Amino acid sequence: MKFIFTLCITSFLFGCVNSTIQQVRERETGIQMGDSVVVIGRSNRPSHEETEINFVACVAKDLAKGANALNVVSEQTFKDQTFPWFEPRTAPIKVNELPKLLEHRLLADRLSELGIKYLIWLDGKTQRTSSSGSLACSVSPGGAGCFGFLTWENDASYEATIWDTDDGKTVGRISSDADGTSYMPAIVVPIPIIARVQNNACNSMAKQLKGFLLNNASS
Amino acid sequence: MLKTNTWSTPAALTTKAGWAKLKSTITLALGVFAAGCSGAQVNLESQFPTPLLEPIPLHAGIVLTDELLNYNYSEEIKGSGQFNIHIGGAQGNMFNRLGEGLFSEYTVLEKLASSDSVDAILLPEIMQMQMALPRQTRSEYFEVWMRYRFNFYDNEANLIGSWDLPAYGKANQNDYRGDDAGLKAAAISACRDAMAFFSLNFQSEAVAGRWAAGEKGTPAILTKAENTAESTTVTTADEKPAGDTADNTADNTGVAQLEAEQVPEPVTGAKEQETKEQKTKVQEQAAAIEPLAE
Repeated sequence: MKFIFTLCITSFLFGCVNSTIQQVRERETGIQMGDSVVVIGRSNRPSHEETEINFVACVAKDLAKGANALNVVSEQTFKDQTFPWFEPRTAPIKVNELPKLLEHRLLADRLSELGIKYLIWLDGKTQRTSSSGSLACSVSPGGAGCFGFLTWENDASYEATIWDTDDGKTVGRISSDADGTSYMPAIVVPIPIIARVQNNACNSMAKQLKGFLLNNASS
Repeated sequence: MLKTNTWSTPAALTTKAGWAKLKSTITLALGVFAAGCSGAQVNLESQFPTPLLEPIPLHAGIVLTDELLNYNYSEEIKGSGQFNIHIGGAQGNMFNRLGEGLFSEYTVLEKLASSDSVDAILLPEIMQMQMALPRQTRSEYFEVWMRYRFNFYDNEANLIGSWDLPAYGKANQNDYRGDDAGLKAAAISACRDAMAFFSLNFQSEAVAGRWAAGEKGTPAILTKAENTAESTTVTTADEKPAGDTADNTADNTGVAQLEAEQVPEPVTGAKEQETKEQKTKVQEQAAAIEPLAE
């Protein structure tokens, strides 16, 4: 009973999110025993945009758990282990730069030690697209309270590009778009009803990536 | 849009308890206000990775001066407080890791002097530094710009030449809580950027190549070189004079000099600032950038 009550309250407090996943497969994929993947956020100079660290970490975490969990090397470990080849000013931008990069023996050996089979580049961000309403809060010695209504809409748009380190080719692309509206009505106490847009985009992206890399028929 | 109104009823103020509550409310409000304007103290004692490169067969002497190890950047930003970034705290670890990765052998030296135990001497300096907060640039990023100067000497402390290297780092404010953490991440990113660019371009940089090949400097330059490197060959993105190294406080006049390959201009998009403070900043930036456009 308590569980059902908690579930009802939780589902009530989360706003609705619409998400869309699209996938383009260019080559066959597969993960062997000992193979690892790394998820890296795009941060190339001089571009001003950067994928959020928490989104990159969320996708990496989701890939590493559950059924068919993958070996995932963390972004920071990977960048430290391969320094200075994957820093914002030095990282390869196009897949055709990868074979030349792997001509550096030490780097190729390090990738082999780490067992990196696929490099997953994440690009995109979550933005607030609109907001409206107002909320007023008052504090007095006798007490405090809020009154009003706020609403805002977030849009998350990400694309993952997967590179195969063995043959230096792009094996596919997956895009994850999600949008949702959050509300905050307040009659004395504000009640946030948050649409977890970024989290939804992350979960969808990780699920699709896992299927894609394992070459599941459903993906 | 979240609007917050704070008010107190006059009737409530007549009681002692009311005064006490009001006092605590005011104290709390002042505390929050003060915290918002206190600036940041950033101490950089970070660990850097060793560059994954084939080491150059050379025993390098790396001079880490007190000036470099104690370098502190200070800037007072109106309405935001005093900001101090002790970037010198990271330099020891940074150049030790560079020495490990880049050279077959290296020795850290305290001062520039002739030494038979090394093949050649490298003396790094921080010439300039600048930072920007997200609220200054109306972006989501903390940003740090730096300009290093690497002075290359032979083992008799004769200057061969110098290489100016700009570095840039940024950190998304959504990923960090507070100015301290954001600026620290941006400063570490700038240091890593300098290390990465130095490591990968070392062999292709003419003066570094000559230095690594065992070229000797001319003793005639030595007298001036011991004090500054200004009179010697300097490979740089432009020919403007560098700022005074002794003054580590904010100096926007040399901002445009930090422009180089893939290093964004300081205060991106600042021309759209509309507030008075921001306009002042833009005017300073514009004054610095204009000469480049000529």
